[in-house]
Amino acid sequence: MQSKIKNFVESIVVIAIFLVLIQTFLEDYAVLAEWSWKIRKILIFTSLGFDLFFTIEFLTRFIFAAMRKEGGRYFMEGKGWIDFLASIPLLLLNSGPAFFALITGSGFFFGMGGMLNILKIIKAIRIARILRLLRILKIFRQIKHTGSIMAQRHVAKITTLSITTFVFTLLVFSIFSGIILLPSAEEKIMGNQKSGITNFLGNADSGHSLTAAKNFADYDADLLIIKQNDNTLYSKYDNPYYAAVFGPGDYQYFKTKEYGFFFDVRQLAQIQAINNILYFIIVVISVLVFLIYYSPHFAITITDPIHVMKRGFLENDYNLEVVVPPAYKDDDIYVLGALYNEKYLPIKARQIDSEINQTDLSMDDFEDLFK
Amino acid sequence: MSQEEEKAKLFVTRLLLNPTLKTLNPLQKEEQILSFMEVNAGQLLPTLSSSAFFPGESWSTIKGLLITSLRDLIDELLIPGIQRQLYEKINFNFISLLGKQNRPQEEIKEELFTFTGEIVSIPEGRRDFSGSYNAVSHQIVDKYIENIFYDHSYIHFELTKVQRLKMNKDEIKDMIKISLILRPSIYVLSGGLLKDGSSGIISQSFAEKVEASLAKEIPSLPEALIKSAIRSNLSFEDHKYLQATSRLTSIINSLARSVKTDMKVDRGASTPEKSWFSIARRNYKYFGWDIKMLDELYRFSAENNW
Repeated sequence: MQSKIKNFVESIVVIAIFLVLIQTFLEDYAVLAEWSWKIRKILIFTSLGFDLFFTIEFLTRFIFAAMRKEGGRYFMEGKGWIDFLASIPLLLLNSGPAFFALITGSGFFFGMGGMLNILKIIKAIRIARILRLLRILKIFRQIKHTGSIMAQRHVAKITTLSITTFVFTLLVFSIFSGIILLPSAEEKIMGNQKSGITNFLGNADSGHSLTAAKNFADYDADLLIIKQNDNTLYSKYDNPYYAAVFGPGDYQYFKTKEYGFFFDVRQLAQIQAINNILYFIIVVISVLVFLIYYSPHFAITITDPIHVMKRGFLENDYNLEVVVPPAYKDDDIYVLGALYNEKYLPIKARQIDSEINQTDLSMDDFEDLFK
Repeated sequence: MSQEEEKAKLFVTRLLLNPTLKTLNPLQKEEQILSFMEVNAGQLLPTLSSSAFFPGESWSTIKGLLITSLRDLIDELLIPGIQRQLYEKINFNFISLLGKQNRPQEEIKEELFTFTGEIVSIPEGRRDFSGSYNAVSHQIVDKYIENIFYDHSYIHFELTKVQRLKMNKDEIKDMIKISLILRPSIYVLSGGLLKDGSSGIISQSFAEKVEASLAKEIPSLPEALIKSAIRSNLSFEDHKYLQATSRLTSIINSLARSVKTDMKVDRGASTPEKSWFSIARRNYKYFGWDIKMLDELYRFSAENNW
């Protein structure tokens, strides 16, 4: 019964991993394709749902392992660290803040000090999202790609190593590019907006605020709204359009003197979405290459000859030779295979010929007869 | 049938249904089960002497019951198989080409069938007949002779020019099949002197005695055919003028005895017959085989993925 429940839960986890990969792709694609805010809002909710699910999964696994005093082993050897990185940090740095922004409205960001903070949060979320790619390793772990445990472990290790290296290189680069102030799209956009605002204020102070607003809109295509106290000086779209298309994080707000400025920052998210989709595709293709090309290659050149030799050693009437591909004949495994073919099998054939009562049947084969 | 015989039959029937034995011919199954009983006697006795099976009986009684049942069950499969080969599949026209006076084929078949019954009535004969039966019933002879005649190389030369067989390939196939069937007659005609468990190689003087006995047993058989069958037990290492059909019979009997025809080949493993020939080429001196024949047959097995 306990095993059935465990299998059921494992099946749910596998399904969730597949779904979260689709959701990860769709969340970025939705930004790129400018899907309506309503749909993107659903994707933010599902993102939070998945992050909560995987956080609970990790904590459950960890607690159960800790109860068996195997917490450390689960974390290090059982790839618990992948479960951890693909759950709690994402909940805290990605879906959590996005969801919080959603329920508190844009005031959450504004309350934190305006434009700069919004960009910092966007950047933090952006970096954390890279960690989601590690979830593909969770699904890889579930795939029994070869019959050999050794091949599975080896291919899983090399895949984990490659994907983790890729993701962490991206993560470290993203963090350091912020610290060492590499030129970024955000800064360029922010610089343009600042100079636009400065120009606007100069023109508006001379009493031509409406003309200045129009000029500003011509100068900066990302300008959405200019407000003077509670009056709208300029608006690119009507209110229903803003409600349908824009969500928190799609615009930024800057207030100076009696003027308030709204800018469209979806372009930043789109640049990041393109990068995310690219990273996602790289990771998916890498895993597929490991599964489709490397895993069979490993099986053919390492585990298959071992399997053939093992059967030859264990079974009296199994006398098939190991096929030695000319391209790999100097590999240790095939040198051993050649020795098995040339030395062991002929001796075995002579021995079997000189002995009667050779059988591969054992009492285990007839277990049901003697119950 | 007594209650104990029925129990033995039921027990053996269940042993024969084991999936491990699925790819084997009837005689190979029998050999495996006999060996299994011999090796596991100590473990089988407590269970088989219990009230559920044969209460209070000794191991020798139980073993006797089981072996009898096993042989009866195997014979139910084997004897009709032999009959089908002798009466329906093999054409005896080649006998007239070996210089023997024409006798009705039905008489030859009858004599051969009776004598084959004697071969499979003794354990050593059954064991050696296993290879012959496999080779004949699974067209192993046919496929190699087809290749030999297509290739026109060493073996073809040995058969047609050295042994001077004036036969077509189908007649040679039939000759080798009969040669294979008669090969284990050394165990019947040795008067219990010859036991298996060796490579089966005998001396020339012994072979001559057996040939004489066989000629008396089945007078309708030509001398060349008897020699072909009996001398397949001689070593080519010591008898360089051994006729080609004897050499082929020896090789094909051993091949067919070892190879499982429906075996699933593991990835990374060579095919069964190619593997067998490759190993045989390294053991040719030990088993007294013709290395050039093995080389050619190995090539056929490799080319055809056998």
